Amino acid sequence: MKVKTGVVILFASIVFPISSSQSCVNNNEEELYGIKPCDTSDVTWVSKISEIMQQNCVMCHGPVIAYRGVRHDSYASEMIVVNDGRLRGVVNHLPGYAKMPKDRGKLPECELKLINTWLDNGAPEF
Amino acid sequence: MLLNSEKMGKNFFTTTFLLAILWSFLPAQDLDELLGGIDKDNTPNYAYGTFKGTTIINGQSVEVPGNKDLHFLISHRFGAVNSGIYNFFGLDQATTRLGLEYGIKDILSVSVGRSTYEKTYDAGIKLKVLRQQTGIRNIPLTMSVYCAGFAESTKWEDPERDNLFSSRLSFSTQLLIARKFNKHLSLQISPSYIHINLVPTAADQNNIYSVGFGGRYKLTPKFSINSEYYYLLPGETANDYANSLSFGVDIETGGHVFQLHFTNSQLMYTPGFIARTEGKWEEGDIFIGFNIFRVFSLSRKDKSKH
Repeated sequence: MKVKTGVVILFASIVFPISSSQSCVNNNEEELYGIKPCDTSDVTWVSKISEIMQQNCVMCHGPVIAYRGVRHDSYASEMIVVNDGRLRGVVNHLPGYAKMPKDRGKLPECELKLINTWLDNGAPEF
Repeated sequence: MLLNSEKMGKNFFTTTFLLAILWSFLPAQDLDELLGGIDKDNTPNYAYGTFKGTTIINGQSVEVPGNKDLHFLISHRFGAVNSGIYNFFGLDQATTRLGLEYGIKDILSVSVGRSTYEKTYDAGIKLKVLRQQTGIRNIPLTMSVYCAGFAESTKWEDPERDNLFSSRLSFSTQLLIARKFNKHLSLQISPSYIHINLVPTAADQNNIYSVGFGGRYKLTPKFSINSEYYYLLPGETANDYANSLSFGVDIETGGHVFQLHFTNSQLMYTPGFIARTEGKWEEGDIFIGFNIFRVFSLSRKDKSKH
C-alpha cells in the first residue's frame, strides 16, 4: 500500500510538470494572427456597433433574455444605456459599474475603441 | 535573452518541485524506522492548523486536506461594492467557483474546480514537503508546493481564424512557506510563477512572477482574521493590473470552514487573481466574497470509530 502511494506521488509529480511544460507556449495574438487594422471612421449604430452588440451582448440583453431590462437589439433601447452613461461604464470596467461582458475580460481592443469612438461622436444611428 | 530567462524560470520551478518531492520521502522513512521500537516521547510534535482552510483568502495556504478527506469548496465573489444600492452593493453580480479537493495522503492532495469566469476548469496538486515540528527534529517552517493547470472554455471570439487549444491554457506553480509562530499567529510567503499561453500583444507577458504574503491571527478557537497580498514583480502585467489585496475572517462551524472577505480580485483561480486583478481599493472597487469548505471524511477507519 505504502509503495503504491509512493509510486502515485512520484508519477504525478513527474508527469504533471512535464505535461505542463509540453503544452506551455509563449504566444501572442499579434504574432500568431497579425495586427488587424482598426478602422474607426464612419462608426454608426448601423455600420458597426449593432454587430458588436449582436456578437457580445444580445444573448443576455435581447429579445429572448433581457437581463435587468437592458436590451442591445435596437437603437432605441441602446440609447437608454448610452444616455445614462452605463454603456461606457460597463464596457470600460469603470469603477462603480458592473464589468461587461459578464465573466469575460474586456472586449477586444478594437471593438472597445469603436464603441468609445461612437459614444464620443454622439452615438449616431446612421 | 528573454526566452532564456523564461526557460530558466520554468526549469527552476520544475527542479524545485522534483527536489521537494524527493525530500518529502526522507522524513517519512526516518519516522518509520523510529517508530519500530523507540518510545513514544520521541515522536515528532507537528504544528497543526497553521491555517484553517486550504486557502488563506484567494490564494492557497500550506494546508492540505487530511488523509482521505474530501473538501467540497464553494466560492463566490460578488460585484463591486461601489456599484451602489441599485445592484445591492454588488450582491446582484456574482461569479462562482465550485471545487473538490481530496487528500491522498496527509501530505498530498489533488483538486479540481470550475469557475464561471471564462468558464475556466482547473486541476492541481499540492504537496506538503516540510512540516513544522519540534521533538526528534526541529523544523521551523511548513512548506508546500502547489502546481495547477487552467483551461478556459468560452466560445472562440473569432471562430474563423486558426484557433489553438493551447491558447486556452494557463499554469501556476507556487512555493508556499509558512510558520505558525504561536497558537494565534501564522504567516506565509508564497513565491509564485504564472504562465499564460496566449496574450493579446507582443508587449504582454506570458510569464509572470509574483510574491504573495498572507497571515492569520486567531482570536478564538473558531474565529480568525486573515489578510493576503500578492505583489506583481515589475513588468507589463504590473503596469496594466493591480496587486491583489484582501482581508477576511475564518469561522469554523463543525464540518464547515466559512471564509468571508473583502478583496479587489473578483477572480478565484490563481492566474486570475494574481495576474488579472482589475479592482483598485482606492476607487472603492472592492468585492465581497466567501469560501465555504465542507469536509467529508472518506476514511473507513474514521467511520468505524463513530
